Amino acid sequence: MLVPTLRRSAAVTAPSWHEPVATARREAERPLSRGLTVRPTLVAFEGDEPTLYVRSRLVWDHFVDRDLVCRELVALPALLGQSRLLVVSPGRLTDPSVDDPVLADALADRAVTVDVAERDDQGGLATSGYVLPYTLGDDGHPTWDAPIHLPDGGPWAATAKQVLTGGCHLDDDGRLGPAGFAYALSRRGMVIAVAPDWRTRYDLDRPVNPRLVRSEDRRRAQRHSSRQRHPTTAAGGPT
Amino acid sequence: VIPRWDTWETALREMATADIADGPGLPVPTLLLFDTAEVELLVRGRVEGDRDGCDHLSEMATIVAARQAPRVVWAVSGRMRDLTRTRDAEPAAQVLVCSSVERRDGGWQHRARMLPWHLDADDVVLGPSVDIEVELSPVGGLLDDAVRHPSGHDPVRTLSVLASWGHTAAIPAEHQAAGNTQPSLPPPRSDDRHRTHRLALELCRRYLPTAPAEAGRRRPAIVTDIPPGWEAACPL
Repeated sequence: MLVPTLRRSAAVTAPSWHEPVATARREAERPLSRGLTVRPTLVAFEGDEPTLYVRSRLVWDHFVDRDLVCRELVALPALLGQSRLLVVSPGRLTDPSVDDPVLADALADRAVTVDVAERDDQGGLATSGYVLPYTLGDDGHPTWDAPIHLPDGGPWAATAKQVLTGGCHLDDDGRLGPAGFAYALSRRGMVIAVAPDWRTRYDLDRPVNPRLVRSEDRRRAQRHSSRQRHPTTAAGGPT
Repeated sequence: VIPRWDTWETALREMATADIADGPGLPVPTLLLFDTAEVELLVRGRVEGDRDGCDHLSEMATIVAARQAPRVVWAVSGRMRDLTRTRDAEPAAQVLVCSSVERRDGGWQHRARMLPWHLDADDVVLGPSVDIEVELSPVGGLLDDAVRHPSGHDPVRTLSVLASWGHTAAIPAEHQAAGNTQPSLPPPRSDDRHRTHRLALELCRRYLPTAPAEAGRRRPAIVTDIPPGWEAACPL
């Protein structure tokens, strides 16, 4: 008999800057063990502390607009300006001796790529990456093969470099702010999380401009400002 | 069988099998509200259809918004279509979609499980269940909204209104003895009906739970799957 696994994992391990391979494997195992696909995920660090977590809404396959995924994923790190980025993304290992691209895709090994990009104090950029091939067992859990080191960085290196050098400047006239960007992205279904200590420092606790909130979300936006319905349990009813 | 939080899928399988074999032929929408590990309230939906411009699933969501239970499971039946075929083709499979939500420290954890079934010469065959993306559940966004926003209505009165609309509620025997929920429902008043209907109508217009799957892209996004130790950056 199948029993749903709805309990939280016992060991909560935060993403670690010094262990990108272990972090990427943990991040990929959560969806893979549930039978879901890995989605592009970005973790931004301040020093050694993970502060911002962005996961794309879109499944990374042949049909998505990859530029759109890139732009959505790096919008908030480009605005907040962290100096260390870690991008976990689904990938594959193809055999270059196979000519047919469809056949090569079918024969490819499943893998997860992790990109590490850092800007030091002098403005120098350092990128590197790993490819983490895996095989899915019968129980759905991945078995990891040895990681392949990419000294120059993986598929996200160019994007990460552009973000870290300030190349993707966002045109924010002050109305939107980081909270507005977080709302605009999360209403597209992206998962955007912040470390609790950094919410105030990133100015993410400022309320979103209600004019920018679409009508479907207005009830949530007005939750704190006005009581839309009054409790019926009180004796006097609505006041 | 009284469903528990860790074995709710077993109980829902039994209920669905009984519904398909002996009941209306389709799994009845079933809502389970858990107080702790034990089920507190079981609501089964009325006959599918429109009543005063509001569907049966949005009406069921009002009890979730009234009784802010920390754990909720909602099973609705659905159909899977082959996207490469025309819209009037036969559905590829019948499924039962179980959406669950659990309140935790940092927010809410949503899960959606899909359970295919078919009839094999009058025998109900339930397939193994798989996790699906939460956005694909027809009531995922509706459940999310109802569980996050307390309606402020009295749950017992909301339940009495739902009972008068044809939904059935069942309460386990030990809760009746402890006086946790009232076993006998008072007759619904007109203002209770009005408030419950207003909330159901609002939820129905926003989430369209019985609309075709293309309406899903107009639904609000569900903020879920925040990793443990993090907070949602946007409270909306």
